[in-house]
Amino acid sequence: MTKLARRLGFAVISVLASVALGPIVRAEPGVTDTEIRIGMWTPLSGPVALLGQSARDAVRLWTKEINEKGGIHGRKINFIFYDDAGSPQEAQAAIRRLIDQDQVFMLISGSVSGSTLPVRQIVTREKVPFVSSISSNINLMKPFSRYIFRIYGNEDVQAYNILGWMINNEKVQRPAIIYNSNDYGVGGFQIYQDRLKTAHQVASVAAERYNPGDQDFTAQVLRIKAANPDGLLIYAFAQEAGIIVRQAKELGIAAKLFGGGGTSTPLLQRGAGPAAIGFTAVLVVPEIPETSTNPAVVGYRDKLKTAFYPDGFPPGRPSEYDTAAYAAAMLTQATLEKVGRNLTREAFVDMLETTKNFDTGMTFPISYSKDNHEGTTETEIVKVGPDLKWQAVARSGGR
Amino acid sequence: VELLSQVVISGITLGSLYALVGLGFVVIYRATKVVNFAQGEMMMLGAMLALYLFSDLSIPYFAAFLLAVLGCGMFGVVLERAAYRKLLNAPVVTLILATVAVGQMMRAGVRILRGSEVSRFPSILSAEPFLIAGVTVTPLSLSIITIAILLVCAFMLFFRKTRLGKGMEATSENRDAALLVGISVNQTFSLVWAIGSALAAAAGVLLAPLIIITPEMGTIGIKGFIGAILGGFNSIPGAVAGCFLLGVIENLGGVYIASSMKDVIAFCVLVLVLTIKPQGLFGAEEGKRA
Repeated sequence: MTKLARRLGFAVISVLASVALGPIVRAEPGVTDTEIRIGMWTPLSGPVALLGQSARDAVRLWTKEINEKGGIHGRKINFIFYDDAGSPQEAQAAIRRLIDQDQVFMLISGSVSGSTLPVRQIVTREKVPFVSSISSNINLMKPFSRYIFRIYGNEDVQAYNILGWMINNEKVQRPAIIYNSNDYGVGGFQIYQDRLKTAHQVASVAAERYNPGDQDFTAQVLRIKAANPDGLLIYAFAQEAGIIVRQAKELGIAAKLFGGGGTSTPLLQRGAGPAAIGFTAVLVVPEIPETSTNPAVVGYRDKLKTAFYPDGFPPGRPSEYDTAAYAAAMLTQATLEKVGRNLTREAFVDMLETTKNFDTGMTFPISYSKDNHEGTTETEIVKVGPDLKWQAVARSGGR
Repeated sequence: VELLSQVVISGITLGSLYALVGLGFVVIYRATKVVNFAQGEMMMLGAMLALYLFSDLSIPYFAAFLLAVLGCGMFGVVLERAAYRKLLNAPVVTLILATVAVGQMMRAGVRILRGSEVSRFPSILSAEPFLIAGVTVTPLSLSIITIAILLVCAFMLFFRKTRLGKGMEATSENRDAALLVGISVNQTFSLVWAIGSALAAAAGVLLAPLIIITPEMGTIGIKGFIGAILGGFNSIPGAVAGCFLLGVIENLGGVYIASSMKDVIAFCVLVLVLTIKPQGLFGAEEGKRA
């Protein structure tokens, strides 16, 4: 009898204890005494693999450095990444795996907009903090999510700033635009229309659109030429923009050429060749990763080379997705350090929201608040020089 | 008027490339009744091969051009022997699907070997525009038109005048009868695939400096197919004319109606023509064989 009573007593006490102490001892997903699990889904294969490989390498490099130093508050970083090939379906699968199976504490960097928007709901519902460094789509923040943070200027900011540069600094009086008929291009076109009317009081002389996958733009370029603009904004991805730039020159358009954030990559010159010289575009980071002499970027380049590419970088690397992801990792590190040993997702988000002017030199200074998770409204204006390399021209925009 | 002539000239440049691809479609179709949906990929392969020979191995342009075209022609023969000949007695639909599969494999293969990198073919002729009677042209586009027209003419003469060409014509008319008069049908088929592939490759190499080289560039090849249907799929001159017409219609519609609608307009014209004249604008009526 007494044995049974004692056993029962134990059972009751342990049940009571677990109820009472539950919230305290219940483990936070992805955090143990010795490690923090951080997850990434990103394109490592397929047409946009360059973006994902950049982000993965950056975070892998950071993980290595942190762990060699002994981790953050005694916890090592366990970095888990999956390839989504830029496909929304594979992104969904990867996210489920990261959240359910691997139980990561947080997500970093993420994928292209097409594979990030479809998972934002899951991320918000599961309350997983996510520091995004690839997607610049405005809908990532619509509706506002407590758990999602962006590291650089969104599409609206990019369009504002290049348009401002075009009209205010380059004194374009007769602007024209050619844009992709997908979300990205139409978004850029709407801002172009609105801002010309409300902010710049200049009338557009021509607006032409094309469809994703088009490879010939003669008809559009000829219509634009007939309207005789003095500045043409190309709101396209770099591959198409390269052809448009070349065809514009071949068909005798003399207007200055400008591009949105999608065009400021070395892919543009590879498509356009010498026709690209003088092309001006907006870039989301202040430094051109391949050529910058900023100590932070130089340091990153050197470390990346020793760690993963001793025989030289693949074409297009390091890209702005390298430096942006590395900045996202450094921001994560600073926040984890501030939160301390009692790490929870909620505490991490609260601390991230207090970020003010976090400046790595690799992105613009990042600030967040309770109701604003857009890190910055600054961008860089860059131009293709006579050597066909991008050159930084000026900072534009700001809070 | 200046705009109009500009539009027409640019349309002809496009059309001449469509014509090369379209001719390849027709050559293969007439002999084998197969619509080869891997033509676009063969085009891409031609461009890739030429780029490799020209840029990486520094072989002179014309030699690289010839080697790429010959290489793709040979690859066409290999494909015919390895993939299509075994299916000769299968329904034509099976064969067409096989070409779709081969096309996908070629695209994926290039992506694996080379990655999805974007490259530009350094054009040997200057793309610096000059004016002829108010129309902006570049030496590049002029040379493309010239080379394409020369190639088209050469192949048309080949079919009309040479023994081999006549043998191919005969095979396309009646396979059994051709066999009876001593034409090797297998050899002819190999030749047909070689020529079809070589034409596609030539189009690819010529097109390369106008657009950019990616594993996906073959999608433009489908325009050659549409042009050929428009002109008449069973007639070589008809198909060629159809392709030129398509290039011009696309540009006219794009400039004078709406640029984002240029493909829609081209397809509308195609549907209209096919409703009124199913064999295509210049196609001969196909007699039913007993």
